Amino acid sequence: MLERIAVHQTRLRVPGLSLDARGVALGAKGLVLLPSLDRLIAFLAVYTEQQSLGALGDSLRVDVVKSKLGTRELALSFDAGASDRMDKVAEVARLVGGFTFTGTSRHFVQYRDAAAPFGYDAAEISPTDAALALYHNTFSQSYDVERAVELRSLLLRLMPHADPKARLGASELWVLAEPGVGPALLGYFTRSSVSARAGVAEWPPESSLDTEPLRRWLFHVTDLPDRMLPLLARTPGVSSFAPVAPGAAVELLWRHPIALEACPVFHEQGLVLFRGRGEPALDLPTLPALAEVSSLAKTRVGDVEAQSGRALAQAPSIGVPIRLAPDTAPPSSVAAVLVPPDELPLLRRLAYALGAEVIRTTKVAITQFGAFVVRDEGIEGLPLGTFFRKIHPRVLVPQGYRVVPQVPAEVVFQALGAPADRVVFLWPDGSAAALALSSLVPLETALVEGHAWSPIAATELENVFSEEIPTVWLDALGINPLRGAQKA
Amino acid sequence: MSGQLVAELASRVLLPLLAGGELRPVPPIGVARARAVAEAGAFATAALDEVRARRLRVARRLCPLDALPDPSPGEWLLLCALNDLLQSTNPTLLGPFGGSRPRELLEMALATVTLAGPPTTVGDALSRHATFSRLLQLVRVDTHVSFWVGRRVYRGAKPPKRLTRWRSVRRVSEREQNVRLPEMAPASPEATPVFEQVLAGLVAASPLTDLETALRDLPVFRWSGAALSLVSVPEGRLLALRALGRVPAQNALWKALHELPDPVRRGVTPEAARASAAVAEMLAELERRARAGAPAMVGGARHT
Repeated sequence: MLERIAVHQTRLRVPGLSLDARGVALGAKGLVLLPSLDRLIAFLAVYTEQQSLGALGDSLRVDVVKSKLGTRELALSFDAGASDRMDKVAEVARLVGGFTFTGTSRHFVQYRDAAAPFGYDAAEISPTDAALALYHNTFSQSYDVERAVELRSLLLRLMPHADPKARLGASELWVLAEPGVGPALLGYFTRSSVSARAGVAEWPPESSLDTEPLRRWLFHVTDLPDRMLPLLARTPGVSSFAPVAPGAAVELLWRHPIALEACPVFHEQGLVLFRGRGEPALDLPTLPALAEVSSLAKTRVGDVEAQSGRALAQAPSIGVPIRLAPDTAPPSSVAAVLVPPDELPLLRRLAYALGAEVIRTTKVAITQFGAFVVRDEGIEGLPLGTFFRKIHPRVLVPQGYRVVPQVPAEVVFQALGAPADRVVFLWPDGSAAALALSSLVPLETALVEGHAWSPIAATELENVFSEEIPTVWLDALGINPLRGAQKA
Repeated sequence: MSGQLVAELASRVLLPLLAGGELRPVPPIGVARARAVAEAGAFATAALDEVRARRLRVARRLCPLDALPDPSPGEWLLLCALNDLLQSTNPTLLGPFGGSRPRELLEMALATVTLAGPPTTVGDALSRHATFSRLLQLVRVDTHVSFWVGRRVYRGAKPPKRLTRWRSVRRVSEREQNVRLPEMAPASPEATPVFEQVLAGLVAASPLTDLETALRDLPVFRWSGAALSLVSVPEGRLLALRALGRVPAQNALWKALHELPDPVRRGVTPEAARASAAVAEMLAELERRARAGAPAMVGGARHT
């Protein structure tokens, strides 16, 4: 029989059992007793849906245990960690019909449930040499370990099942091809410029009657076009696998019963391919040598000799003058505006509508062509004159034109002589004009004329807190100054 | 008669003492008339409006007050003594056969100061400080005139016009000198000790003024009974610390204040022991302020 642990109870009978920070009875280990293998698989499937088995650490161990009555059950043990983790394990175990225990070495007591929020303690410890002694509300039983079940081999033995909801959509694939299909697939990938690597994997013969090892072409495709997916998924002799975890891949349109990405039993150096149709999984402890498919594709050797050329004595000039051609590209930011002289009065009127930031960051230069108004941040707000856009920090072309031939802007700048202190404006007819940078003055200084003002006189207010020095002035006291003082 | 004297004293001495400007002492008052002035002090209503405002402004530097009582009889007595003290420096007091007049006047002033006595309450001390806080700021303008055959000094008076005529021919030159109250001297030199005694008595009669000007050269600060009584009570000590907090040179204060009279230092009586402990507490606070480097606002005082 078990006893419920009370609040503030400190002494427990089960060895290795103690109270954690929340007062829950917890041993160093947790143990889940499952009646059969399918319950274990169900437990793993449910548990890995929500969290990784890696959280249980390297201590995860599955044993087939045998009771005195000869019944065999499965015990899944792990480091208990904290009661939070144990709570999750206990919930999953309850769902799949298992019992959860906690303890340290041999004696395990039932983990807490709704009836005993702080857990249970055994009223009496049964003397036994068995490997496990489990105490539950409904039974107390001792077990011997019959054999261990390796989790990895268990996962490899589990068959994927057809997934009707699966869709073809993976861009990274492992493709396994029969020896006769592999070279054709290799050529197909090469012609289609698919980024893939190929190698030949081999396994021991399936039957002792076979003398040759089992060989398959193995392709690792990283950017497969969608149009090829149906071909690779449904062609006989070709099996495609979608990676689900580093070192593990499941065949397309099939699904492994356990979330493999939550099982830390696969290695990146190797590869396990889970096949459908009831075929066993293929395990490659190490990946075979893989090479780019372009390196393995067939090559042709021609019989034409290579031709060698020689330099001409004088190279003909192929230089052409720079021109401006109409540009159909959408207009970009206006970096400068040329306001012709006849529109300058309009510019003066528009100055009242310009924002403070625009006026502060705009520069202007007055020339014989008119006023060049330049602003690095763009000056779209000035609907006057000819708009220029910047193709280079020092080269501007009219809006709606582009430079032909279409050489980089830096080349155009160099062709213009790369003037250091000037900014070059190209006209639609191909001519250019350079404006000295020093002639550009801030618009704010050029904009406002001198303004008359009238002085305002202020009346001084008396400082009521000023304190004058008290100054003693002595008046003449007359003939008998002490008269009043003495008389009284 | 006393009412007229009170009005003249208020307008010619009290108000200039508070507000600055020309302070023209009334003719010597003496003890008996001073007593009458003290009784009739409340009649000086005309000049007291501004006096009230000025005194309240001084008091608010140390204590957040909404109103301050009018000058007490003791303050009127001290005002009369100050008037006589200033008149004792008047050269016209001497006259023929009048060499002893300054001494007589100063002895009457001393009797008046004694009659006023020390303040009896902390509020009285604050009221006296409000009246006499500028006592030691009083200056007298002396005019030195030198001409071709001699020189004259006019103390607190302008030289006669005839003496300054034909300046270039008679080589007349004038020089004005500001003489502070402690540096003044009575009209006859033999009355100087009494003059200093009266001045010291006047300063000591307003203990807050006495403490606030503790770093003065003359008269040298010495703990008076009034000052010791004031700092012996917590409220007085708080006001004193606030007054001392207005002194710019906090480091020098400790030196000026740490010399206690011998009976007080030895604590021969319970009152002396209490005063000694209070001064020690004040000195500790001053030392803490000096270490902090800046005068602190004691007790959240509002310095207006």
